[in-house]
Amino acid sequence: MTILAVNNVAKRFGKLAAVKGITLEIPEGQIRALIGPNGSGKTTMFHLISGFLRPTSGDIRFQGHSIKGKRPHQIAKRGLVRTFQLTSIYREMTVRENVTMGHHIHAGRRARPRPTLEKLPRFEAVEESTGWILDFMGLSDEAETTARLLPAGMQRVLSIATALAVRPTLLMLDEPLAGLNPTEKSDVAQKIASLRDHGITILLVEHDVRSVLSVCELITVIDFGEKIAEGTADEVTSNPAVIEAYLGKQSRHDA
Amino acid sequence: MISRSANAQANRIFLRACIGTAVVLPLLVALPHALTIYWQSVLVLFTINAVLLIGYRLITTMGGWSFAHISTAGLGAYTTAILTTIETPWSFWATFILGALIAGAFALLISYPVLRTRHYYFFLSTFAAGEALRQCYVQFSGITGGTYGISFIPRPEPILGLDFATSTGFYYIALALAVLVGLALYRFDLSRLGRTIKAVAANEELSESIGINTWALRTLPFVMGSVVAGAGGVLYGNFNGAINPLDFGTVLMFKLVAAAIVGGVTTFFGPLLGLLYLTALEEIFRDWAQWVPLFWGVSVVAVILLSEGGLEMVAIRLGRRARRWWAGRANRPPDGERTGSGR
Repeated sequence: MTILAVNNVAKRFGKLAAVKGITLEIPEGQIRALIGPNGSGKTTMFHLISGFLRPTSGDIRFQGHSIKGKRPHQIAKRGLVRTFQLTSIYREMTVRENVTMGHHIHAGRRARPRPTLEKLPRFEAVEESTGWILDFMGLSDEAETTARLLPAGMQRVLSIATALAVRPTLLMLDEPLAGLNPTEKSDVAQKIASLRDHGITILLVEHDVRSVLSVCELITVIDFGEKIAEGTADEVTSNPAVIEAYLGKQSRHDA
Repeated sequence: MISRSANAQANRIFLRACIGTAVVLPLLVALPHALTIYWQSVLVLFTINAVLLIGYRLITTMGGWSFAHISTAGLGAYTTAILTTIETPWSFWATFILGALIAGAFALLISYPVLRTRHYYFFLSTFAAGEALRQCYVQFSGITGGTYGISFIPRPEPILGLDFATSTGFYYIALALAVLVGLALYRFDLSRLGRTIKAVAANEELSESIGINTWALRTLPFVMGSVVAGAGGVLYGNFNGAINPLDFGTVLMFKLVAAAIVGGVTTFFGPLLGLLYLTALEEIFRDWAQWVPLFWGVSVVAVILLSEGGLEMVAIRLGRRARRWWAGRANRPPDGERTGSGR
């Protein structure tokens, strides 16, 4: 079943067409990568899907319902949650407080459990759920550390942990591996694969192709706001259009 | 899901504040009887300013420093002044509630344009909105009395045998409002909603992405703080007995902003500490009144340069040091041998 259907979505900023009619379908339970060179429109696509930007034309359907024109917090409540390219955390809060804050829509007496496809364990209290997520993401040892004091890699993991607290059905990660060292990269990639095993569909943006090849099932390549290829890692990397547009001629031998 | 520990902790802190208030309250009630008439009026104005400041601090928790607060308070003052001086005058108490609500309604009205701005721009846009409102007090002279304002505003009619014509009587209204609003907003500050508002101020984009309605949580404190401003404004106008547009200009606004900077806004009590400091300066240099704004200004600059976070942080640091000293004294071995790992 298709969880996210982006239909011919375009975004213009004045005279600049950032996204020129992209169609995208993501089936439930897939890890999909959206790749493309700098300025190709990846982050704009993220903003369009998550409601931070409004498409100029086209439609976006999540779990069969149109979410075009909805505000980001409304979209998050439906189970579509995104992270940011520049790691976004509550810097002055502790790691535990960050993840607790992520439970916002589930906390409080009036909150009702929402039927979702994710298979994360269910808890009665926010504290228990926070504890489980900290454990799962490997942040338990740093639970009481002020977030801004964490190394960059752990901050990135924390931003994913906070998004996870919203209990997303579709999790969108904007460059989750950028700026991490090789150990951290394989660590986070493993976490992402494990999230998929918990029933969470994942759409991620990456700049660095090699680091995502191992975890992604299907890769969509965009350039200049248009989709230029879609397929498995092998198909995409051998696609001449991709090599030309994305990797560039000089990079051909080291790709 | 429910959050057990956070709520229990908030209740514990709030209970402590209630007990503290109950202990201090008799002193505050007795205070005016120990003062001369001059100091009684200083005390009343201080208490009214404290109400305005408690409302102001709530607005700052959403991340914006409004400069329309005093003009908004003016709406409360004008509501009372107009309705209690017309031919068939309203009861003060009815205008009290109406004044607060009108101030809130005004805040809701301007929230749509001004809350689209952030940081310095928020400061500037609220300044513009506030100044526009103040110009209304000047221009709609048919009902506001123009630049002359409105005078002979009658004091509140007595209830339960309490006479509010004297400064002491009026002080009790101001004190009751300050304590009620203070406790209510202190509890609000500790609540999940209050904490979420601060999270929105800390990172709006992230807050929105995890499902927090950031627009609503920026509007709410702005409107609530303005309702409090309106209530404070009603008392301010009524206590002075006469109001004009200059009363709601930048002088009092700057005093509030200065109190919030000098005291700090991290804790609930910071701004009040700042107000105490500024009022003390004002009274110490009463005979050199023209220098007072200069001393305030110097204090603001000094706090920004020397102690970011204001007097509250100085107080917290001193408190921590005193506690450590106390603990150290209690734990020190009898022979005076040094403890600790320092070598």
